[in-house]
Amino acid sequence: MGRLEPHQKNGNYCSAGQLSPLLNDPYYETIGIGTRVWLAGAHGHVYAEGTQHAGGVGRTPDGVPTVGSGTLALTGDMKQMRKEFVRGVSFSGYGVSLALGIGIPIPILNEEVLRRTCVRDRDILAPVVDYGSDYPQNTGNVICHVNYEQLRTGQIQVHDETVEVGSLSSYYKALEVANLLADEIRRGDFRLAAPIAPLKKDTKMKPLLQREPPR
Amino acid sequence: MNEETVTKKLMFYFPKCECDKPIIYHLVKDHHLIVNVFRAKVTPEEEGYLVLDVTGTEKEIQDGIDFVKTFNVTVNYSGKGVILDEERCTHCGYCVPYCPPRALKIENGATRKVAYNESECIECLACIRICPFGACTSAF
Repeated sequence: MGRLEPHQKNGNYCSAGQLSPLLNDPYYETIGIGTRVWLAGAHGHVYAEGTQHAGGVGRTPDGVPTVGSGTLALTGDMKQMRKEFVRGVSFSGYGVSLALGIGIPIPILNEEVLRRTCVRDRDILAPVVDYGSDYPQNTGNVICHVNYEQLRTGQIQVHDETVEVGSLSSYYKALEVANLLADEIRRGDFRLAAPIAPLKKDTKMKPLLQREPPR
Repeated sequence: MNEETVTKKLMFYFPKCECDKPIIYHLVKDHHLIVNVFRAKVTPEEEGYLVLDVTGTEKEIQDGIDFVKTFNVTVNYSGKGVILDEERCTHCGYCVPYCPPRALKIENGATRKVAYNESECIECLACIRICPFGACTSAF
């Protein structure tokens, strides 16, 4: 949704990468429906998969999805939220949206869970997609993949050319949320909850196909 | 006396009555300053703003500023035309590629905090149009 300059001058990416909860638990072993979450300072919970949730997507051998995958629907008491983590945003050419600070604790239940939480930006791949043509026409073309460590440098290589990239998600705020949540857990103020049902791992995105109108 | 030339970024605020005087002309002609105007908004019968770089010796710049002040013009040394509101900024870094002089950049690779170096700003206003949080604003 970011602004694109002509001739592949720039690109945009989102996600907090190595701090993103769903990339630290890519198979939803601890995050499920009923999991307690830190939602902008309020103690809320996961009540369903989010819109466009797609658990059954391509993954690296370590399980990290290589395209957009899991999403969450969360609920929490807005009166308990902190205003600096509930922010209205406006993108010219796109519209309005809401930016939220979200933290999800991942209990280390076994070695596998621990191993997956050790994910680093270099292990997380992002597809480079042309939003000028391929994305709106839903061709599925991916120019190449880059990892988040490369994205964090502010420059990536596309077709042997250097393209500047900017982030739409705040890593700085994600770090703040992680530390605030860790403090609350250490103080005993934030209580973890086991999920009551798992998130779907086999769903895929269904594109909206245009059909001829009935005569 | 220090003869070394320095460059300073300044913002002038012209009250309603001072907009019709050729102040820049006198800065160049009488005070030998090299002037680079970044942005100006001067409307007749209204107030005016001017953000510029002046280059010259410390004394020439000081004399120039003293001259400008005789016109009831307010000279602002800090807090120029483009302001970053620290409370609104989330340090996402979206603005960074759009800032031509790199006045906005990631200051620290570990925390990814965005820093705004005001002296580098050329007042192109790209960040104001771009920032989804409305953190960048113009003084005029």
